[in-house]
Amino acid sequence: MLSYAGPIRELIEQLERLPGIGPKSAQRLAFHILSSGPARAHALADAIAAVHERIRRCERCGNWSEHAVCEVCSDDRRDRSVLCVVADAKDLMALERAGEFSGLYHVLDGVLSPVEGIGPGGLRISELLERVDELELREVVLATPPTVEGDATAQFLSDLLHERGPVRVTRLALGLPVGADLDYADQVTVARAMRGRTEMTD
Amino acid sequence: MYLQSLTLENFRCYERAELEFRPGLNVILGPNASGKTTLLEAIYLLATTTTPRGGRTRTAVRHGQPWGRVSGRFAVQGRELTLRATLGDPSGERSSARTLEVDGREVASAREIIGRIQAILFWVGELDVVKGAPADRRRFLNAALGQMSARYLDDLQRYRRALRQRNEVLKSLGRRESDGHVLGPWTHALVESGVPVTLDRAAYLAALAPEAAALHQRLGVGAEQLVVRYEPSVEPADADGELADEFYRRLEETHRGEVDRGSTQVGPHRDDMLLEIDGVDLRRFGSQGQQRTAALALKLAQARVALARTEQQPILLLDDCLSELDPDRGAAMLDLSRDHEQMIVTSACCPEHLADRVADAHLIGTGGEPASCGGCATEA
Ligand SMILES: Nc1ncnc2c1ncn2[C@@H]1O[C@H](COP(=O)(O)OP(=O)(O)OP(=O)(O)O)[C@@H](O)[C@H]1O
Ligand SMILES: [Mg+2]
Ligand SMILES: [Zn+2]
Repeated sequence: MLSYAGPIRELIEQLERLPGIGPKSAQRLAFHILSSGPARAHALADAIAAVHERIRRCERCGNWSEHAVCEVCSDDRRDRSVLCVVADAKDLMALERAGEFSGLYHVLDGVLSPVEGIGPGGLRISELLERVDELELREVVLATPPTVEGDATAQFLSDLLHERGPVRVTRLALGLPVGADLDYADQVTVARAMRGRTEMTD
Repeated sequence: MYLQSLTLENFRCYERAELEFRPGLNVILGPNASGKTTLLEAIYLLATTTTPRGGRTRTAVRHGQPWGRVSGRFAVQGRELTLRATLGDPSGERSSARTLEVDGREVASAREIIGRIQAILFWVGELDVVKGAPADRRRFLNAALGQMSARYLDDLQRYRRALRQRNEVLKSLGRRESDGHVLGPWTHALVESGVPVTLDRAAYLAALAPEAAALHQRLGVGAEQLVVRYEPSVEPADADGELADEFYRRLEETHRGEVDRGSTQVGPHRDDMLLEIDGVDLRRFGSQGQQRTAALALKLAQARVALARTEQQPILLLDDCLSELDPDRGAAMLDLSRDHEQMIVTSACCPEHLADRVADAHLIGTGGEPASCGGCATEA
């Protein structure tokens, strides 16, 4: 059987490692890149390299940022008395697009899932507690996804926060379609959910 | 609704066959392995787009052929409806393909076919609900409730995930790799989804039990009284008790055991359903005929509860039902055809003793021979 020349094979193998890309798509993309000329291929390669050279985690909230502190965290107009906890940076963007929330964020880097070996130590929870101590918060909004794991993570954080002192803890989940990702939920739904957040008690 | 004709091409043992059906009672007669069950399977496939034998529908394609096809012409409230399912691909390329057509028009999703024809199939697999394990009875409940309520399925799915995650934490507690406070959220998730699952099952069985008992009365010919009752793993001690509180209490009570075993000991995953005749547990002590009669009553009751709101009677497909039944029960079963526009039954042996019941029936032979084994009304 004829096999592809080394560099093409290498490219196909790299593409195959991306989520949602199977061998067939990888092949199709590789040949598309090959036939679309050197200028576009370099632009793509540069863009890929640049995200790692120029983008890092915000040292406060964990969001992706070009600077040490991200745009949200360095914006004076944001309400520093409300903190919204999200599973990942995609969810932060979804909430920002809805434009309903004007407080600060905290990115957890996932949700609890013992089956996958993700316990409290695998999430940015100690960073969260530090920030809760530093900021004078009126409210913590838990916006983890409305899945079993997202709910359990919210419950875990709520218990933890209530133990540490009096702070209002609310849960954003209302109105989201079952199993929905914040990322895919439409903006109206996200906005409605943000308005209709409910108090969490222990 | 009723089936008028059925065409099979490269479907299991059939290379090509075209069969006519009539409203009322139809009896498919033929020796073992002559393709009787296959005919019911084909009808069921058109109604539900799945095979009752489980697994992928392409396994029903005749061995050595790249594709197979079933078409059925039905009458639904005076209108004709043609459904067609093609399994595999005539060019041989996409062997897992499945094409569904309604009146010659291809439909994009199975949902456009499911529900147009309602059929209830009773075959050997249904006996598990009586003589199988508790898991088989939970499967019966889940299928019945899932058909009626998407919310139930969602709660059930959440319950299963919560259970898996919680059991994982229990295992790590057993190995002393984590401490107790990580269990709390999963216990909460378990109770939150387990409570509605339990309540739904209780309400469903409360509706099912009298239907099943009434049907069983007819099928069991009189005296025997079938009792169907929910046996939930978690049940409030008294009527005013909160189910969630009781669930938490039972989890606490069994905590040492669950850590030792690394799995949650109480909850809907431990539910069962009691089936009893005159105080005798059918699950363990029922005779074959009793188990068969009870399973059929449950199956029919399930359809009655599910279809309570539609006035259309489903087509009743009964596979090999007469074999273990005495003449009275056999006759009672065939008399069910009066409740349905159409009933199709299979039998390996001509039901001689039921000659009066099948005298007016439409006979269909699968053995190549005339549809009879000599004993009964061949002139039908
Ligand atoms: N995919 C297939 N291709 C070809 N033949 C098949 C296929 N699947 C099953 N068969 C055969 O079809 C035949 C008919 O099976 P079926 O279960 O319909 O018989 P039956 O008349 O119901 O028999 P019984 O009275 O024993 O229940 C069997 O011999 C079986 O081995
Ligand atoms: Mg059979
Ligand atoms: Zn930030």
